[in-house]
Amino acid sequence: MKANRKTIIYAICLIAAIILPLVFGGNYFISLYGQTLINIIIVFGLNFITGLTRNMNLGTAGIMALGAYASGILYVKFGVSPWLGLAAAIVVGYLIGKGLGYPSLRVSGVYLSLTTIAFGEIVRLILNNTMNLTGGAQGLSNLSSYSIFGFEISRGLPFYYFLLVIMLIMLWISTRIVRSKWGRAFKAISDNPDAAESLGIDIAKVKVLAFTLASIYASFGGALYAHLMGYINPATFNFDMSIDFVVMLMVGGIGVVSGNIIGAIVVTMLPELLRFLGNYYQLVFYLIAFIGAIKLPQGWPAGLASLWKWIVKKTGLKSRKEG
Amino acid sequence: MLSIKNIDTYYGEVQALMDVSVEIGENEIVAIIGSNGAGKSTLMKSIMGLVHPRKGSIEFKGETISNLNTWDVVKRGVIYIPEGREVFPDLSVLENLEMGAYSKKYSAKELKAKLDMAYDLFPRLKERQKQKAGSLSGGEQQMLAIARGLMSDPQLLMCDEPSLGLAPVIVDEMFDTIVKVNQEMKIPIIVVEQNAYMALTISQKGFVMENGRIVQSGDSKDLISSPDIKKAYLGG
Repeated sequence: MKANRKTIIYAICLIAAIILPLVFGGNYFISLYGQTLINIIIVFGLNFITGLTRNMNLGTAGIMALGAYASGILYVKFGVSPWLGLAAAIVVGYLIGKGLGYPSLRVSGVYLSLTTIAFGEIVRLILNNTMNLTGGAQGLSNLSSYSIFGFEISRGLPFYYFLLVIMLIMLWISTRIVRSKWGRAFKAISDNPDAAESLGIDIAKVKVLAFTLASIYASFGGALYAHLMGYINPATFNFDMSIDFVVMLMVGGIGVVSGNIIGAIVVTMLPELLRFLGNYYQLVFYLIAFIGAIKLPQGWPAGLASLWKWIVKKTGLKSRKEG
Repeated sequence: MLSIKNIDTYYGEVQALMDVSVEIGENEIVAIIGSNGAGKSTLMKSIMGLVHPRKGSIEFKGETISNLNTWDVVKRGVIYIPEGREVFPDLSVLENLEMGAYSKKYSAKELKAKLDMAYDLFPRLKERQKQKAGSLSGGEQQMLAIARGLMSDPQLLMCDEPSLGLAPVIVDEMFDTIVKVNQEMKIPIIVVEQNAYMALTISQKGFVMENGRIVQSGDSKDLISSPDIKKAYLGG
């Protein structure tokens, strides 16, 4: 019965996702929906390292940038198909995960945050200053879209549905991972490191695994982003972007895959909904995020659910008193 | 089965174990008793590879394990149940048990069989399998910790202070379970305890530790009636 209700909710969400761009369309919004889907994918990845093993990663934008540029450079300079670019991005993500993971996960807490921030900034500066390869501050433009059997997936609706399918595949993979031995190990090492070690878990190895997954997702998302926008430049992949991903994770509820989706949607779309506030929209947005972090540390969905329970309980008590 | 020969273990420059030797045979229960700071937990950590002894050797089934990493020791079937009921509070009871099988590559069928075995031994855990481990009572958490240890087919089980902070009735139950595990599953067990009387009652051999040394050892029956032990640990 309970499973049935869940299936219905998922089905409604999926139908909403399919209909949304048809009802609230327009080039700008459809591109924004696409970005939301990419953000969801990246937050799925961040969930492994920051959500489950509780290790802060503030370098997501840098990793995403490397994925985007890997695919972009291969296309612009060597004429390689964006599909192979996606594969290249996965390889890049894997290498970053292993290469950055081993040295940086020896430190934790604030030091890890600083290491990952530094990584993101280093990437951005390198991209800015290697004119020949990356086009410097002007970036890379005229990146083509993907094509299937010779048919191009044109930007707009087709690309949106293409991303939706990829997001659903990543959702499936992520859910599988969270429920697997890996997922349990990720949770276990943050929950009780001593007990985890006494069960024979190599904590460093598990952390690097979670970090590698996160960076593969981010790099993969970056490549999709490059071909969604058709244009990339280093300024996009700044520190604010890395923070936004962490905010998405927090808003959705740390560690919960369905929460990742909600968090990514809220944080990507809310600024748009607040645009009527003009120059103040960012202020109001971060204020909302800030209050959410303090008042709803479990994430907004879980927080709202317990608020709802509380209201029901209160009103239930009231009616009993009246009766 | 496990033989510890003359080990010295240090924390930095502080020597925590001095010339400690312990021998455990097949299917035995061995008690290691002593007060706080006597070096009991350090001894456990030395066996598990959480700290490495500077001198001496630890052999398990004829193989030297004193320089192995913890996960390699665990792979050889030495399972440590840490003191203070170290369960994963945010994971469900079932997930905790599944974590116990982490070092093993079980098929789904084997895992199911192991879970059934654990639930047979501790029926209360089955009732609570979906509950978060942090919400269990102290006794239940200790049972979960032991059940989780059993998930990986241990060749040797080490229980660190299983009675710590438990109500007397639950303590009895706990020691009954330890004997049951030893007899039914034919697993040798090391019990580290401050509750000397209980530990000596269920064990065949006992080792008494003080200030990082073994000061007395022998058959538990003899130890329990020895005047020194009575005076120091059993209250006269």
